[in-house]
Amino acid sequence: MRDLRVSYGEFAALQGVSLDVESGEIVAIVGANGAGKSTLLKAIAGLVPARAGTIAFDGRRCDGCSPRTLVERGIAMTLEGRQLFPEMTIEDNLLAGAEIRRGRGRAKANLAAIYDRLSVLRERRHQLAGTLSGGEQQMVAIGRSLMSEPALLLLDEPSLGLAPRIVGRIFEWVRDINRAGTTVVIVEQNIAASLALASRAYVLAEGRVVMAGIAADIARDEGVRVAYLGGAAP
Amino acid sequence: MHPELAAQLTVDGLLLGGVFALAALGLNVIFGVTRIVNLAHGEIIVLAALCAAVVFQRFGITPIELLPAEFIAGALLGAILERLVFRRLPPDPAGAETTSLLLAFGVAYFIVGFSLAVFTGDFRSVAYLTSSWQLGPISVGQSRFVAFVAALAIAGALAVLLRSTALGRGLRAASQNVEGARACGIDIGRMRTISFALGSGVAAAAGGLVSMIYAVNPDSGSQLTLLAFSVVALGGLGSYAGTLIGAAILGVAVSFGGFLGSAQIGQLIPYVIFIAVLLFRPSGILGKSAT
Ligand SMILES: Nc1ncnc2c1ncn2[C@@H]1O[C@H](COP(=O)(O)OP(=O)(O)OP(=O)(O)O)[C@@H](O)[C@H]1O
Ligand SMILES: [Mg+2]
Repeated sequence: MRDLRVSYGEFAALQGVSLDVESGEIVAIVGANGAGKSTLLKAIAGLVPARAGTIAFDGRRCDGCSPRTLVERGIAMTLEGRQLFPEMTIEDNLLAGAEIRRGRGRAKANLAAIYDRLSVLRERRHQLAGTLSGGEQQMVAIGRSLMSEPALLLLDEPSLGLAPRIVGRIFEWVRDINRAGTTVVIVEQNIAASLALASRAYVLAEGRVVMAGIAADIARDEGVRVAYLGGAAP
Repeated sequence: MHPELAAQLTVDGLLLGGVFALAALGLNVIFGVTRIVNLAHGEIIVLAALCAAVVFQRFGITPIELLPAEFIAGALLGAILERLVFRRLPPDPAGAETTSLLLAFGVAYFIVGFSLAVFTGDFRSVAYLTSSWQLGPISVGQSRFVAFVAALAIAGALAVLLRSTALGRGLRAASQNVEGARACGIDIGRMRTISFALGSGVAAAAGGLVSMIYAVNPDSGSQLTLLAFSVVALGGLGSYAGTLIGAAILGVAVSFGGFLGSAQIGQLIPYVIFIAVLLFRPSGILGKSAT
């Protein structure tokens, strides 16, 4: 991604962001509230239009493509706040992730793989998504993204509002998804956990990349924490 | 009131309710996905009813035989309306609501004018299956009964489509969370067009059935729109079961009102119910109460 700019009306949310993600990596993006992290992921997924700059995926330009085209090409996003379909069953929510050509033929097998990993979802597959706990909803949201067999998974704050035990399970799952071959970009408030998961990280502030490097180094850097991440100890 | 008379009026009302339900379901599908209150809904129903009447008169094709053609024509009209008119609304969601309402109003009047030019202002209906069956003390009008069965069959087919097909899942997803649906690669624009097509197709089918029950002229559209709204108001927006129950209640109310007062008073009942529900139970009788 090169020099990406995104605006909401007059407001410039991303003011020239460049970043690289290698195939097979987990990259974390951290930053304070309103830094533009969600906007960055949404721009990659085609959910918000870029005003300027380029994005390439697999060696081909992909900025300006519709979200549908990008899902077909292997980019799936799990949105902040899950954004499930509350009046639909768990199973229908998951299947909605396989509405496109990619993954449709193997929807049954992918569904079974998700249920095998998270048996609680299999037990409740006919329950409405709106009645699930936050942790279960997050699992459905990630599962829904996996149904299109993404090569690149964009995760926006998967730990938001969840108990530490559940967060641990979800991060473990994300690691396994990555080991199975999916590249992951994760945005997190839970900085310590996401930096532990990721190999590299970018720190975003006011729509700009202010630091990039090995995740472990950034995690140790007291200055970064104080300046950009609200100063909270990990 | 004599219990046999009450039973008769109830049966009449329930049979009416089938067609009311169909009209309301179409409205619900469109609103669910697009958040557009389609004020032209009744005009589409009336246009279809007038077509059914003329086709029956000219060619002897019955409204039931005409249903598939009515559905397809209605669906095409709906798709064209969405693509040509409603799609051009400003993207700003706050402004879009008022604008879409006015736009739909304009479309409704356009259809009224068009219908007047083509069909004149005469009241038309289809004199088909005019006799009745006698079940003990109750007589069941054949046309009402057949329209009722056809309406339930179409409503059932719509339910299957929405519940058990990939397209239905896409439509429901788009109506429940636009951002989530986009992230799944669901094409929202396509879903909006399809919801208009489906809703208008169902409205046109309902219109064909209306021609077997009521005499209508091009000005009857707004009454039917309001009827459909009353059903939705009673049953709660987006609730499938609620729509069916709301339609049954409204059908029975219209039937009793028509007998106790007069046909004119019967026609007032939907308005009264509509206003009363909005004032006292805005989420519908079965809808979740607003928090
Ligand atoms: N749809 C929108 N319209 C207008 N402004 C927006 C919109 N979405 C985001 N913004 C603004 O853009 C900026 C970046 O938002 P973004 O959601 O990307 O931040 P974030 O880093 O994800 O924050 P958080 O940690 O709170 O999720 C914020 O100042 C926000 O107010
Ligand atoms: Mg965010």
